[in-house]
Amino acid sequence: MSRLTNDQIGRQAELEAAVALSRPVGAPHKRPLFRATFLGDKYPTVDLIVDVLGANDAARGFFFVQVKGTTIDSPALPRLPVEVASERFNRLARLSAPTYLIGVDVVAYRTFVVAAVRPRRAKVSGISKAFPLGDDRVKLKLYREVLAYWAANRPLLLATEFADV
Amino acid sequence: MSENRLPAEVETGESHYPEWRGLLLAELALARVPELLVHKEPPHATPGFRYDFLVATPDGFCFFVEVEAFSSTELRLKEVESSDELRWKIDAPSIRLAKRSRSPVVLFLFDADTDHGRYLRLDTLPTSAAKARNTVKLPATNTINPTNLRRLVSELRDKIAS
Repeated sequence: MSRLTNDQIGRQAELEAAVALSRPVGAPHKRPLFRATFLGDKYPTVDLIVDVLGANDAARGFFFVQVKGTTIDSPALPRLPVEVASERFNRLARLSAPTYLIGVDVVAYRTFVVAAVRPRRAKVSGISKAFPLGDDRVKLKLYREVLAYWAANRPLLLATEFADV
Repeated sequence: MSENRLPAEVETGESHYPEWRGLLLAELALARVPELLVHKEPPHATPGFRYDFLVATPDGFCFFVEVEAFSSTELRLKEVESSDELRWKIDAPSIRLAKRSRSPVVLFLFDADTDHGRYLRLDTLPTSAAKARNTVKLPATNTINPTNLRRLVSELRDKIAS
């Protein structure tokens, strides 16, 4: 097989991330907790907007994701070797909504998530493998974290200048 | 390794997610074969066109993919991936439409809970005129993975050439 182009790695990585996020978890939920929408090449900073799903696929909140794929991971490496320029990472971290970076090994089909919460001076050169999306427990923690964020911030929009009277 | 099991009858249920997750699984399965060019048709973008993907090779050979999905959790089926064959009911008009196509038409069937998928060529199936719905059989040898999809493309191309 010929070497993958950067575009092929990027597209496969986004799909791997969307599939891993949406893979149904076990009891008691027994359904997908997340559904990703692809934002396309022209949208800066963010690759996926991910709805947090209640029963019947209804969205209860969302978060933003930047996805980075790699073909050079190895089980011996403690961190997934993905690179993100500090400028691009910091644009994600500064958004006023939950933001995460998902790294994807497109050869072994493994995905890992980390939060993008603090701006950095140096580029990202790897991410932790502590939070694999193949693990239901990781997805349940992510689910609770994002729902807690939206439960705490929901009242903000009640004070609007644009009420439909 | 699991032992092979008897055929499993699978069908759509009441859950919504198999429909959108099946399309996602199909797109990923095709992306894992990077030499394939994949065009996803937005729903209803072209009147009369009913397939989910147009797949082409760089030298111009192409085929259509129709995606269906089910939930093994809802059907209370275990170890779907080890069943000798999956049985799926398909409308006779769908098969007749596939048979009229000048390019091959392939069904991708996914279990939206386990990501397990199988394929079956539709345009060469026999149809029973008396039946509104036909049961098609998807054997374990047609499991969707990069190796089998490359084999499928190669077989389709050989048959078209002959």
